Amino acid sequence: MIAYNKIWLDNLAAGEAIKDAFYANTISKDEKEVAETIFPVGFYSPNIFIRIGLFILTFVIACFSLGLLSLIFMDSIEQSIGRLIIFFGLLSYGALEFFIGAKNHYRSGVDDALLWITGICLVAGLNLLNDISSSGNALIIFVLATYFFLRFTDKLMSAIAGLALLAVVFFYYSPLGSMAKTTTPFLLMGITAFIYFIVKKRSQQNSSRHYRHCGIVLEITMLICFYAAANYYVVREMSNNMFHLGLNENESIPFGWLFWIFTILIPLVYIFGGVQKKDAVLLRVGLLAVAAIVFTVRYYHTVLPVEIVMLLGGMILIAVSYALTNWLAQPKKGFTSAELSRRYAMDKMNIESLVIAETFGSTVPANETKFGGGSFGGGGASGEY
Amino acid sequence: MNLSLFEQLCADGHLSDESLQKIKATRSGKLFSVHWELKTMLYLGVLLLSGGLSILVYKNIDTIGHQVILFVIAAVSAGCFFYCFKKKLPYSNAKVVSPDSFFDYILLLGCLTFITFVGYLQFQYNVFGNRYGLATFIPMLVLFFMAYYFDHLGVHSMAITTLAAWAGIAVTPARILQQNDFNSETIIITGFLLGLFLIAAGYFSGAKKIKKHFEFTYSNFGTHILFISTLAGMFHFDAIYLLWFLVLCGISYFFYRKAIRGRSFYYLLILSLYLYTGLSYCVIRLIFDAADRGIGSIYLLCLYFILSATGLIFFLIRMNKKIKNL
Repeated sequence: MIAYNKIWLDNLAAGEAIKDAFYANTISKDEKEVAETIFPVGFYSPNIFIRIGLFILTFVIACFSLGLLSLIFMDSIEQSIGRLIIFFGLLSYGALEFFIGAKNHYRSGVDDALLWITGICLVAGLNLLNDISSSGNALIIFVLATYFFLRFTDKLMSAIAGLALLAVVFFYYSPLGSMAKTTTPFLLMGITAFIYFIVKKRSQQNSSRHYRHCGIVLEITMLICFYAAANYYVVREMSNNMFHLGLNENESIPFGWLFWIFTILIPLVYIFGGVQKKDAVLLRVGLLAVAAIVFTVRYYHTVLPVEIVMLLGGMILIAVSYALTNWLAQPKKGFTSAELSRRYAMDKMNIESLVIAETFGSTVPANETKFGGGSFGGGGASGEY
Repeated sequence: MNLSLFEQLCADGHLSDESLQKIKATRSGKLFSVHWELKTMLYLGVLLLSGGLSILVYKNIDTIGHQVILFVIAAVSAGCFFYCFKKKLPYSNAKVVSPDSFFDYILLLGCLTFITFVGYLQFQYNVFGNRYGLATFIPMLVLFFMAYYFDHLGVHSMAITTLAAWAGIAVTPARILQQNDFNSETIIITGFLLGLFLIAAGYFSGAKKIKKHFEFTYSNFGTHILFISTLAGMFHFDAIYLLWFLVLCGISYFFYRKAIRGRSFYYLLILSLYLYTGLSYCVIRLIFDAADRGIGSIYLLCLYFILSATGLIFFLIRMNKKIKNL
């Protein structure tokens, strides 16, 4: 099923494990070099910046090739544009298989771009040919993304497949009646939880080892969707808009109290579970969801003015991280606040400084129109920038 | 981590028993690091605190409370700087490690509140009068001083942004397109000179070994400003656009040498993309300036893009190999 050479994929994973062991100071440099020669990888995977460049240029080529094709078929363009775009998508799929099969491209930018071009062209072409409803589109996207995810082990496609599945359920189930509308959030919660646990279980198994990185992305997607399906704000506004309830400002939805409980409880459960199981994904999504609690509560109840909330939040965050960092300076119960691997340390430091310039750049006093403060959005820096 | 992999390696004699034991030991006593979670929380905390203070001031302007708030902001800023001066390690031209994990964030908070303070003084009391340059010039000096004195890359980036604001442009590829009216000739020239200046500053940081690790920040900002100004020059000064294109080629060659020297994929990518943009502009102009403006020129254009992008792909693939093998 997987388009890439599986032995090389295994060797790639082995090479990563060896590198990790080397950076954790458990094996020596000689051992690392010897071990790496045992696991040769024949993929063409250039540096990340070259990958970005190849991605952009492949898109440029595709756009103008499509332009050229449409010029050639200019006379009958009105009727045939949909078929032309589908044909182009299939062409690009052929090119994708060719580059992977014959040229051994793996995450080279070319295969990434061709995958996206294929997907976009097929969906757009089908829509141009027929008048497809949202539910139909969700189904098409789900089928395509699942195929791409299984065949090309693509992380983003796995997330899109998961989201599309939820959309399919939403669009097909909710119109069934008022009872169905009320129970939609619960059904979605059940499905996301089900997928989450399946993915969790499957990613332990050896047979799905090539999908492990997709598994993490799927886990994150499902955790976020589970919380979104239970969050009061999302449920209320979604049902109000999609089902045309026409709620007034103070009106609530059926089972509103239950969703309030979920809104506040689920992030805490995530964090608790993350700490207990030492699961970084759960913990991080839980921390994110805490921010969502604050936004949800503040949206419906103006407890305090925004600047006071920011001040208090800032102080609490600084105090908590200060206390925890000091407390965990000596590892406790398997937790530490120290940085374990220096492998990516350099990387992160440079990115951090750019993030600071990005977020704070605009705080420069901008007097009159002459001075625009600026935030910086340039390229990031990596180990080999 | 895959334990059976290492056991197999050991059985085949590629790994010493000692190393295998070490790997097993680290696996059983594996610690869970929350380093980046805590760092992110700290960073968000600083962000919220300084943002909250700015909004607080903004909302309370013209009320009795604002002087109190102003005082609080000054106190926070001064307190942060005081802490930094007390805790800091002696200055050195080399990289100085921060004394503890909070130092960097306290310094950041100090700098941010300082900027709010100065901005407020200007807004409310017009301290600098109409000399707006001064209102950005002084924070810029302070930021550069703090960045060098305490060795902080983030503050250094902020200082460069302030320098650009002082020079009159917003240093941001994204926002330059939206906000900046690049049809103004002074801004193009200013940007061009600023870019040259920043690249020179980066070069001297590296050559004189004064905070060598600041070099990347200088040249990164400088490169983008320089390239964008040159492209803007090409688009704006219609009559002499080929001259600007020559300048662009010269700059690209300079960065090409630099990229090869520093084994930098990043500079290689950005110089390729900027040069490609310039080249494509020239080709489009040439095609449409030619007598035939019919459908033929559009065919020509499509062919040009397909062929040139393919060519550039081959170029990048070759350069990837070349830099890797350097």
